[in-house]
Amino acid sequence: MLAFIRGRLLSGLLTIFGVVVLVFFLARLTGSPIDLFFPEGATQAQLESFSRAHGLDRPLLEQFWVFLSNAARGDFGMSIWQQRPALQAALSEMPATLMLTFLAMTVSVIIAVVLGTIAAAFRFRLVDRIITILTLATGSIPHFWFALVSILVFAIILRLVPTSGAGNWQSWILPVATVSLGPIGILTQVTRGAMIEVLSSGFVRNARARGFGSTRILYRHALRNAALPIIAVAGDIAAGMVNGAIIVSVVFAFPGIGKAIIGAVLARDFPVLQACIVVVGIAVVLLNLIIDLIYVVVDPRVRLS
Amino acid sequence: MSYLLEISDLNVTFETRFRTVPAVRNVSLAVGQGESVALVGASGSGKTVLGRSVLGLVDEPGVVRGSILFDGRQVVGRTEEELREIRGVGVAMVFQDALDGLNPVYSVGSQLSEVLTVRLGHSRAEAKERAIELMRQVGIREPESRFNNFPHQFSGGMRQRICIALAVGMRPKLLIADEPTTALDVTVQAGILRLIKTLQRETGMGLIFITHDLAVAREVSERMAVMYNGQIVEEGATEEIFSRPQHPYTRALLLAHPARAKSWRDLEPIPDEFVTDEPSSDNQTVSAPAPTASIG
Repeated sequence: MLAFIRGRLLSGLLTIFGVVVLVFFLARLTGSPIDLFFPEGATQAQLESFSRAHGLDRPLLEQFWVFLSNAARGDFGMSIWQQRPALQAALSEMPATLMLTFLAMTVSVIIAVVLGTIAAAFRFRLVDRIITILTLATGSIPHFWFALVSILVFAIILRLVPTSGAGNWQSWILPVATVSLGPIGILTQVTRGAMIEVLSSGFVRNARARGFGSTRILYRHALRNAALPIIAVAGDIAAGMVNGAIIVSVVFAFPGIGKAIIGAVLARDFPVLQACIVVVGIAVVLLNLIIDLIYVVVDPRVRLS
Repeated sequence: MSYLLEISDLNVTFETRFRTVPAVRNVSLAVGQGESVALVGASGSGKTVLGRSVLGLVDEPGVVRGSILFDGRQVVGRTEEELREIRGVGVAMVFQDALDGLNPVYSVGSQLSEVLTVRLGHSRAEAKERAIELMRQVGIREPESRFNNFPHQFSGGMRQRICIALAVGMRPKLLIADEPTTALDVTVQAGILRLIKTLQRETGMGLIFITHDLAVAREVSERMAVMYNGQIVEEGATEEIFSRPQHPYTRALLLAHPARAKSWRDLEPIPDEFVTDEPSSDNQTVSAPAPTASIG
């Protein structure tokens, strides 16, 4: 168990290193922050001192080495635009992202498991067809369109929720709904498919023959067997959300690491960009590890290796 | 004499939009308290569907018509909820697919305990004690230490033993064993048969043993019904049927059985006119030869 976790963390570290290398060099292909930082007509002396202060005057490989050796000590440098360490800029955005991911995943998994189970239990009946059509629709509605329309309807016309920001709890409703929409569609279909397969298995028939009620058969006997594919897909989706729910950031002016990454790219704020990537990478690696551990808890046949 | 199970004029058909396939046709069969009856026939003869219909386990598009009286209560036409009164506690069934019969994500102990707490209302402590007792009864060695093992940690034969424990644990009045040894290694078959017979003797439950193996039928049953093409073509005391088979199909079955042969050359294959494959059209079942003599 511990060896498995250690191995996973090591390989995760390698992955993060690879991504950071890519981001470091690709970002510098977009140009220099100096062009954005200074207005036209800034003096040569100003430019040079700025360059020197941020180490931009050094050869690229030397910059990379400095970055790596500092990063290994947890120092990602100062943000070019914000007067604070890059790591702090990245970390301050994480709570909102993690909270949004947690809420959206909880909402979508609960709704999808209930709908998918009902659809499987009544397969090919009217209920199943309605659920399938509805979830196909939620799965295919474009996020940004739904976000804009929901702002128009619920925030502007009905005035039930604020239009943007992340202040009170009401301001979370629309962003959570927007990012849950797609996952609800996908996870419902995954649940339905997995449940249909499990429901046709011998042990479910045996449970019926023993006189267990249908609720017990569905939720105790069948669902836990259908859980593996649901968890796998949900894990993938969650990793995508941690990466940044960018539509939500932009349309709802909602805080989060996605917004920080876009800001850093546009401003060529390299230290913040690199710090964000590392933070997201760590989050994704940990998330995957947690999902692997959930597998083991749910299904005794899964062995860690 | 009132029977424990009384099936009369039972018809089971599978009705799809394009065709209707009869699986069980005009079957009448009675099983007395504590009696053991073997239901013998080739695959596709309707034995399993007949067994499942007793528990109300024939699903769409299957349609059951006729009467099945268990303990004086009608089974046909009852809702899933009403059938729960019979399933498990009245009639229990052991199926062919031993490997797929246990829920892979729960330990065998918890599955046994679940039946005892949920269906019989035992307390948790009672259930555990009784579950271990049941495991010992079906021949699991060191049941205390295996209580928390999962199904994949047991062999096929052991899993079938647990399935049997789950079935008899509810003290049913009738056990339907549907080819319980077919999926198992030949070496463990005899043990399972012995176990079922022993449990039947100890608990006094009735037994319907579904098999295609005549030697097995002879070993476990007092009475025997031969099924062919959805119908019972011959029924009577097992020894009687072995010594004086009446129906041509029964005779053909006996001639085809390896037990009577010294070499494979002595075996007689079932005559072609008795071989019913998967019906490829509506009238396939009709074109098969109609049984000439029907007893019982």
